[in-house]
Amino acid sequence: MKSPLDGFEIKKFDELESTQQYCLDLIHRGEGESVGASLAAIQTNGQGRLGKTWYSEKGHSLTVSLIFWEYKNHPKPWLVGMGTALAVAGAVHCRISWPNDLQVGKKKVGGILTSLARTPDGDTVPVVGIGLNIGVENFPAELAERASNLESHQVHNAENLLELILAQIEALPEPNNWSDIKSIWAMFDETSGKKFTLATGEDAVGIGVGPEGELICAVEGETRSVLAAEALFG
Amino acid sequence: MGKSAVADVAHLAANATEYSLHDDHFEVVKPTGVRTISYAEITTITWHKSDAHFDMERGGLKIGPPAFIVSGTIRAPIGWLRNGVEVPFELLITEIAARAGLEISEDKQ
Repeated sequence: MKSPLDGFEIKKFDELESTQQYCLDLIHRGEGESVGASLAAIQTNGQGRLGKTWYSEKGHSLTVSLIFWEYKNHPKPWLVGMGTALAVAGAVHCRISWPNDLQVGKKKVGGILTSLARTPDGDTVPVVGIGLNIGVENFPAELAERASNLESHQVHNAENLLELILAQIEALPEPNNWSDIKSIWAMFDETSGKKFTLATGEDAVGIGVGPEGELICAVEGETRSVLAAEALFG
Repeated sequence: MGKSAVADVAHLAANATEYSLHDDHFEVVKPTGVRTISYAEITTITWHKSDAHFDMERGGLKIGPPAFIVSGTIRAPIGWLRNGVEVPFELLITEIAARAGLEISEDKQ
């Protein structure tokens, strides 16, 4: 898989509202074609999936968004996000709950946010945000039970960790189809048995990941499938 | 694909062991049964040509390609080419070693 920083620069900030929003805005304005990533020491309004906020603490989190210009107009852009999730899992040896939650044991240590940005010319560019706790201790109470950090599992600092993730991205096969990354996904998969809330509000239990990367789940005894594109892009 | 090539693939698939990786252990699934190995009980991992040898507090284990990785509904090949995509078998051993907190050594013999 192509690294977003191969031939592109990284913008580093001490503080930013959201690395994801920064990258999306750049692309919407038709700017930033030389930018492959934005990295912030702290985000003041970090984004999570489904409009949730992402809490980070200075010096204890990796908050970065990657712009995959090389995958502009990719027919299956969700695979770029799932590939990135695999690269993170490979770097820190955590597990992935479909489509992109990162776990150690039963605790969430981070997540991947995949967005599609549209350029003024109408092209679509995948932007993949990575939020990873590498030592957050003072979580807000509502997150403390759900989130963990990697400190007891692996010790890293944000920039070294990013280098490790980029090396893992380059080692992955091209994500043209789900079958290209399926074997690697299976090594890190933590989907089976996990509880999900579907867009309909129904509670589901994960059975596994289907032949196109979709979630196969059970809702009150009935088997359903949820497309990754639907879960990521709405 | 010729008849013999199809037979070769079928033979490979039939002989491939299944591996399932979990947070604190992995499972080796063969027609004869399932063996569960905790990462914590592995003491050394050594490559002998294309096979990896695991020494544990009690006994040992040799694993090699071809193999399938299994998780939930996924059963995917590793260590052999299929549909033009090959995921190297080494990746499985490297991941187990990382979870066990061990370096992999090479057999010098």
